[in-house]
Amino acid sequence: MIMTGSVWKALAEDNRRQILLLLRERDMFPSELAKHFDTTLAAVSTNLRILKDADLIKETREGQKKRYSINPKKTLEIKEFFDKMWGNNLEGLKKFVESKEAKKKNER
Amino acid sequence: MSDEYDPIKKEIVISASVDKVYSALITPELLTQWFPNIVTIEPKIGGKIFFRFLKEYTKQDKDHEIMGTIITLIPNRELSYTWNFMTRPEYNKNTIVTWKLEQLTTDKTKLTLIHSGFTNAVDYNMMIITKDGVGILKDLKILWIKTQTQTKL
Repeated sequence: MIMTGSVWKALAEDNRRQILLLLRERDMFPSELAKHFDTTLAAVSTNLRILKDADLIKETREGQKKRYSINPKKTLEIKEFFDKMWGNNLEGLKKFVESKEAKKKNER
Repeated sequence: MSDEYDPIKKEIVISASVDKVYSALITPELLTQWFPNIVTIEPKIGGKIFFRFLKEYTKQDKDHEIMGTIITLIPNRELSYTWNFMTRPEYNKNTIVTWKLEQLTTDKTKLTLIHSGFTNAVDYNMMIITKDGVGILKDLKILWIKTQTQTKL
């Protein structure tokens, strides 16, 4: 996964990091989240939209209300990134060590 | 919530003796030939590791840095360390990279890589974004302690 600009932007603000922290504890509605901030509900909603656009949180509709939660997909993407990274690097390690061995044998 | 995902596990058989493979994992001059471009490593338990991947090689928009601490060090058998992506703030902190080596024959080694500790409780609280990049948010000590406690559980 490539670090996109939207993730940086989303994390570059104290209130948004605070929202992530609160959602880490449990899923919440915007009105519940707003209780933790001095700002307006509209400001909280704006921050939620930015976090959602960055794919960091998930939105679930419950009737008229929207419930927010940490997006677990992001972690799966991170796992995929490492899975690919290690696959490539293990091949690289094998090639490196084996070519070094081959060189030594030729020198003998 | 902090559900832990299954670790990443990969196995590979290398046609070289177990000490050759181990050296490639712990010796900076050898590590840089297949993995990061700049390496600092204190080869002891509790020792620090630092890896830098240069953007010229990774084709990414910037260099990437990893910091960690060695947890296990049994020469020719096992090496493990914590892995912190300093340049990727949304990644899990203190995931654990473990290398296990098994000698199959005198010139064949089975190498197993296990990368564990992926949870959906991403530790955003530790990170602060500055114009220059990412640093540890020092004034959030309580949250830091909380994170540490959760890691231990």
